[in-house]
Amino acid sequence: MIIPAAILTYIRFMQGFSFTRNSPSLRRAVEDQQLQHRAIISIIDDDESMRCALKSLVTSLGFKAYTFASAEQYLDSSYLDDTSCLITDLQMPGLNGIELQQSLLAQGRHIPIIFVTAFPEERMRARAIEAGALGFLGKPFDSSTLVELIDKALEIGRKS
Amino acid sequence: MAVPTTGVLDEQQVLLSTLPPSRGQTRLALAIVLVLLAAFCATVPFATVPLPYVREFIPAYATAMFVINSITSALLFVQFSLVRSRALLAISGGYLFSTLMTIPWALTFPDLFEQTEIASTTWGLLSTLWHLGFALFVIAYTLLKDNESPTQWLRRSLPFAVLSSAAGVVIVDALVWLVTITNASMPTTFALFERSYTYWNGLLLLAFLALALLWARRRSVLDLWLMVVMCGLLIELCLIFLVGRRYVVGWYASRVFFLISSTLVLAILLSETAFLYARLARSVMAESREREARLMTMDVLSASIAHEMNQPLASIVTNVDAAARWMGRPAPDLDEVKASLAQIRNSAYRARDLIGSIRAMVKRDGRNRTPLDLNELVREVLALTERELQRSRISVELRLHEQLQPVKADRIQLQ
Repeated sequence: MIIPAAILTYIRFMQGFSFTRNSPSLRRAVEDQQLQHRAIISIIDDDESMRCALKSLVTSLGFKAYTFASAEQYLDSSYLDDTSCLITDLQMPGLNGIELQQSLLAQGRHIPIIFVTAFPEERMRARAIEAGALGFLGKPFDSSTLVELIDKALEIGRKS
Repeated sequence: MAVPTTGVLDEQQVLLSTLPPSRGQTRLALAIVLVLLAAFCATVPFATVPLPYVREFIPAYATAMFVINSITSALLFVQFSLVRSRALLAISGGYLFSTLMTIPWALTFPDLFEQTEIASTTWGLLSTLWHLGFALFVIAYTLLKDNESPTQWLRRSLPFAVLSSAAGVVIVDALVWLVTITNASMPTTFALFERSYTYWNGLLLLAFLALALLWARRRSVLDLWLMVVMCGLLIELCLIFLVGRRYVVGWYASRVFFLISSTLVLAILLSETAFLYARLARSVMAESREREARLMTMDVLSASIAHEMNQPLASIVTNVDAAARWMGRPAPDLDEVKASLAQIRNSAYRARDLIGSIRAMVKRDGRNRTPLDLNELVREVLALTERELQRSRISVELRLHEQLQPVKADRIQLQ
């Protein structure tokens, strides 16, 4: 009895690690299943077309995406606890991206944040990374870079 | 002397020889001439009252005239180097001639060296030549003034200035030599001539002619003050003519009047030059400030343009990537792809509208077009440019169509 259980457990264990490590599409499929109801990615941008584009991209990757027109809207929403990754613009009317980051840190939430901005300045980049941002991209950006960062964010989420 | 508010000057306002005189200056010149005339009238009754012989008077007077004329000549040569007109060459040459003539004139003054009748007439001749020469140079200036185009052979002014100075020295020396030679051979001829009326009438007429021509063709600050100098010269000639001998009030007074008028004119020309220099310096500084401000504005503008343009571009790129992933799925979701394509097109149109509004923002007058009556606009423009037209002696004939429809246009741009 113990031996089949042990073997099954071993196989499950191996499925979880070695196979998936070597095959990204398989890994993605597994992750899709595992994370389908858990990976929520929140997108904040004051520009509507950018919001829709990002939502489309994130959904095509298999995640759930929720969009917000401003940082205040996001902070008032109920997705604060469920967000696995946050993609936000820097320059927005009202609270800007850095202020949002500080506000979340003050609340004790360590949500991985990826900044995408139309005007990437060196000083802002340094500030964001220092405050613990995961990435800082300039618009227009290459989507594969964004995908890598999202993967990293989910890794962090899984580890914690 | 109205200072323009924008701070950027055009050529006409910067040069002495083209700057039109302000009301204040004209009044000042008029006042000086009236004062000189009044002094002249006051001196006439006492003109023949004898005064003691002051040995130092002529040398002092000659030195003063030498200094004043040489400074004026230098000032005018500087103007010539800027403007390159033959008229300015003539007048600066005239002042140079005047400067150089002062030396032999002072040296041949008879009572300085206790000489005879010959020396007296030499001195008289040189005096005549001095006044004659100066008047002729002023007439040449007035006549050459209005041909505005700088000629080919005046392209490099420094050699010309040096050349004319050398020529002046040569001419003056030649004249002096000529005078002494002819005087030595025919001592009495000129002495007789000098006392005749035709001689004096000729000189006075010439000076009057110079003044009249200057008055008819006056345009700039330089012309105004040259007229004052000519008035001073006329007064001197009249007084000498009236008096006919030396060491009387009239004789001393005539020299003093001419000296005063020349000094005043020089002082005013120098102050005007200093003032113009200050204006020019201010204008240059204002221009460089304006340029810096414009560069800064352009910097800010380009940053905001970059920021604005990156939004639709990023939207296009992200939509393209999303569409690729939707299509790469085992079961491609074509609805999502169509949605992405529509978004791409919207973003492109947004970018186009953005560029249009940026261009509209950069243009100086936005889009304020109002219905205008073109005839009225033409009349307005003519009224505004009346002064320039008069000065350039252009007459405008208006032939307007009375039945014009009002047109929608930007008033300032059309003007």
